[in-house]
Amino acid sequence: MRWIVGILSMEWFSGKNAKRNWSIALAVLLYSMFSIWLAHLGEQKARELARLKKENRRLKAEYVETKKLLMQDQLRSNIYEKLRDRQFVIPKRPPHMIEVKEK
Amino acid sequence: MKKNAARHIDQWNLLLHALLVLWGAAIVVKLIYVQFIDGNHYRQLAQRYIRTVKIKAGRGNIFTHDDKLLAVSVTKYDIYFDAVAPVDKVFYGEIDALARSLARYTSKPASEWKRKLTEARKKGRRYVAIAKGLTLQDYEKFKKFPVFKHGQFKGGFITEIRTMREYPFGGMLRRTIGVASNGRKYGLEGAYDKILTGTDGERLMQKIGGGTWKPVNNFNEKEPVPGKDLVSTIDMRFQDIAYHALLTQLMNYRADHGTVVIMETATGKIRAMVNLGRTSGGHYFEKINYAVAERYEPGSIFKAFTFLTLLEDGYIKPGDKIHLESSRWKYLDRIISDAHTFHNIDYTMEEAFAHSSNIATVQLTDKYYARHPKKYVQGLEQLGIDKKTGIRLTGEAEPVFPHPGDKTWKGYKLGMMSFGYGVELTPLQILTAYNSIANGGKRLRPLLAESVKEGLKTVETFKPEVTDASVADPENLAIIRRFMRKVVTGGTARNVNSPYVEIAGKTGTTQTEYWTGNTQYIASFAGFFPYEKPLYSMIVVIHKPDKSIGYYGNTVAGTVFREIAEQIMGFTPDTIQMALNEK
Repeated sequence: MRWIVGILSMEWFSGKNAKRNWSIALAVLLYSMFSIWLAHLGEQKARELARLKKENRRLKAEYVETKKLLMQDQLRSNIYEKLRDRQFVIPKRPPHMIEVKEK
Repeated sequence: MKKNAARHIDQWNLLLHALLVLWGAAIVVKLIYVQFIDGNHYRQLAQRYIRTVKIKAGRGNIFTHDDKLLAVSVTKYDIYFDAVAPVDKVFYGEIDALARSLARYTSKPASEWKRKLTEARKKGRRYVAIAKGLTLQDYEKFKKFPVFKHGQFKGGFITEIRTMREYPFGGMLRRTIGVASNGRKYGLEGAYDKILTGTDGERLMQKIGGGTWKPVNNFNEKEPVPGKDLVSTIDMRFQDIAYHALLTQLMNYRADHGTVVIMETATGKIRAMVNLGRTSGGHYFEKINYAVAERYEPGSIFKAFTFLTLLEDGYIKPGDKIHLESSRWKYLDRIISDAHTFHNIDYTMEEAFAHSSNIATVQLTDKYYARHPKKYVQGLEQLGIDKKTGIRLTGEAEPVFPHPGDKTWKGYKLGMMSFGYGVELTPLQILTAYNSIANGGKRLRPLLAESVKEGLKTVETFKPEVTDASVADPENLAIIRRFMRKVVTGGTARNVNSPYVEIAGKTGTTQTEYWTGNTQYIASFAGFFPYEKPLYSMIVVIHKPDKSIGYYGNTVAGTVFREIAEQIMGFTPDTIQMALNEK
């Protein structure tokens, strides 16, 4: 009962044990602030993670779409189709690869 | 006075203490009650508010040998509209603009969209389908449309995300890639499902107001592990060439279906596998993996195995001659005939093979094996053609391979078998045996998967698997290879001879459905190239071409073989070694 009265009359922070009580109060305050900061940090990371996941999905979709177009364009049949009118023909003679070896 | 005050405080202390103890005891009692007596009830209640949700692991991609994507999991977006959510000002102020935007990206006109959405609002519909399977790029555009741009609560824009398997090359290789979903498993997807499937993750979710669920923690209880990527042996350059060559020929000959398989001689790696079947509408697409699942009577292609067995048993030598009186010959109760007419002709073994003489093949087999047909069959078994190849794909057909002593075995079976009737093999089984001839005797299990990747790192490599180190004497194999070259330079497939690449092979023109009275044909050509240093073996099989256009193995299948071989060699470098002069 007395310590409740003590807190209410601010004796807790001005009496003979005030120094010790202040340090406890400060420690509790710092700990609370630290906890709040950590919670915020956690949430921030969760948000960042969600953003990165979204970005990852976007990049993957972009990669697939672009690669799809590129792969289609790279098909010999498509290249031939596009260049046939310009008198291009599919080579049948093997290309020569010269392998140079030191003596 | 002081004593009274102290006693007064003690009484208060005691009371406070007693209350605290009672409170503590009450908590303990309640805890026991909650935990053990009402436990089940509360656990059931909790399940309604907390649940573990599976987080689906991403499925691995399938690549070709040349780094092309064959199968990939992509995120797709379905869009719905809550027609009640937007306020009148937003809905009626922007509906015309929204309808116009939707019309640009869909097949419906703007007037139709306006009518549909207005009607939905009047009827109080909260889940109107707008578009399904959108790519991220399209989804981002839809999100900025009038009305939708106000979000879910003010604009009624509802998004549902799902992961879909996409095949960038559409129908090409569809059967070889296969599927692994809804209880169906076939193709590469089915065979390598364990590698491609990752491990699902878990996340605890808590129900909050408004029927929505939010994660209990900021982290997943169990992180999903994505599946690994599979690199197949397929080379898209080979596949593209083979696909178009076969498709063109099937269309030209109005054939029912066909298949092409290309194998690397030294490793057994399959570089292309095309299977095309005709639909009722006259189009062709990958209906069935004919190469693996469809067995047929190979006809003259089988003669390579018969002649090799005769050589192995020492009954014939390349220079030996055989005299044939006529192009029709009575064998037991059957008439055997050759494709071209002749009277009194002497063939060397090479010529008999090159001209694909049925009569010579049956006469030789009958002469040396009629008394002990088991020896002939055992000789063929040495080549491994009586067994499945063991390719890691579901649905490989078991060969039909008659044995003397079987209930169905009859006298004429030996002769018929010698030129490919009464025996049934799949194109892949024939190709595997031809590949052994091409590579000097190594029987290799056909390989469709090359490696497993985790990101950019290769974590597993599938090595070529030799199932028989030597199926026949290398000298006899060289003789058969020479015979096959003769088929192209001076035999039944002279039209397959190419000025660019030395092709060796054997034609096959098999009668089928002869029991119906309307005989159809199966045209085939199997072989390898280049002749001197074989790099690839290949088989082309075309079923039921239009007889009025053509049906012979050399014209229908052989030309496809030549076209593909020439194009492949067109980008395969011819290496010339030069010594560097140090001076």
